[in-house]
Amino acid sequence: MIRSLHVLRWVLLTLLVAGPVRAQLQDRIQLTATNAVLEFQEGVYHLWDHVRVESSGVLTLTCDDLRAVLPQDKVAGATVATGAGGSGRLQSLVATGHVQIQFFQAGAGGTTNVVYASGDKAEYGAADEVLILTGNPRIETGSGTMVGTEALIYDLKSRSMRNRGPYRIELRSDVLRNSVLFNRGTNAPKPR
Amino acid sequence: MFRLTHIAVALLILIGSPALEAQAPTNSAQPAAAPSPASGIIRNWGISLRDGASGRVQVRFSSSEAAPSKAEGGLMPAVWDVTGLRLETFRADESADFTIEAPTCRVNVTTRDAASPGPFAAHRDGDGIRMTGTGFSFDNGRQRLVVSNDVRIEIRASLVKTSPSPK
Repeated sequence: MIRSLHVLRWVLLTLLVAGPVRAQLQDRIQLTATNAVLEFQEGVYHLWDHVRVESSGVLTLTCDDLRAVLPQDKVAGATVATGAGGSGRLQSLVATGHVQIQFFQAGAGGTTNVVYASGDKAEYGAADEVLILTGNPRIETGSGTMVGTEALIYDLKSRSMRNRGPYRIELRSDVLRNSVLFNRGTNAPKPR
Repeated sequence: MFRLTHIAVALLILIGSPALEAQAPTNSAQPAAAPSPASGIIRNWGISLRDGASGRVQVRFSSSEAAPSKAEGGLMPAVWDVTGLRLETFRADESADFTIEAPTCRVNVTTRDAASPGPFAAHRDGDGIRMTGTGFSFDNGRQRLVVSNDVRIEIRASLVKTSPSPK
């Protein structure tokens, strides 16, 4: 009886600790790389060699080179990085070289849909909140692949995709298997 | 009385540095240094360095121990090997910006640069940025931190959070 109480207490403690830890992990974005240069006054973070950006449950990005600009304010003629009192937003992010991104989106029935994006360059601007992929851009979802010749644009607000220039969509064959498009009734004479 | 003499000697050493005279440094916010005359080691020292033009505090170095670099000669060496470094940078309004901590480091009080091949950790309280790495070089003139290995930066997700999508 006492033993089971101990187990129950241990389980409760684990749950109590695990919740905030998970929340803390989801609240933070990790950037790792071999090298980095930080320009304090301009708020520029430049990372290169084996760059990886991970936001738990949201996205994973890998590339060769990453340049991020964090919010800046002007105080008494000098540029300073904005703290909690500032706009608190990333201004821009440019990833170059073998850019691969995985977006994790909540799907139906508690599932997670993964969107894979790749290209030579990915640019994010806070003003319009879009991610622009260029240099053989490619976006893969569960239903198919979108290949663009100029640029593929992923809108982070509406979670929609659009393109610039000609593009090609490759749909998985099983997506259309049960589609009425190819299983419509016809008035052709029935074979005897 | 003995300790007061030590404090006075430490202050004289710091004020006597040609690099610091022009910049009017203060170390008022830090515990006074206690030098060991035999070895030249300064313990629990701290120094705030001001911008020559504006007079604002630009950077503050403090550490548990500092010894003149063996490569340096002269009365007041510019380069010090430091143990337990704490380097604080300040914004234009003199509020705290980045804090860099390293177990061992070499500091140049003339150029106000610091470098170490070893591990370091840095953080900024304002926006919760945390950073670790191995091997760093801080260039005070350009306000730049170069990290040469194993960089790990953590930022709050709110810094890149998008606005809520329209319903």
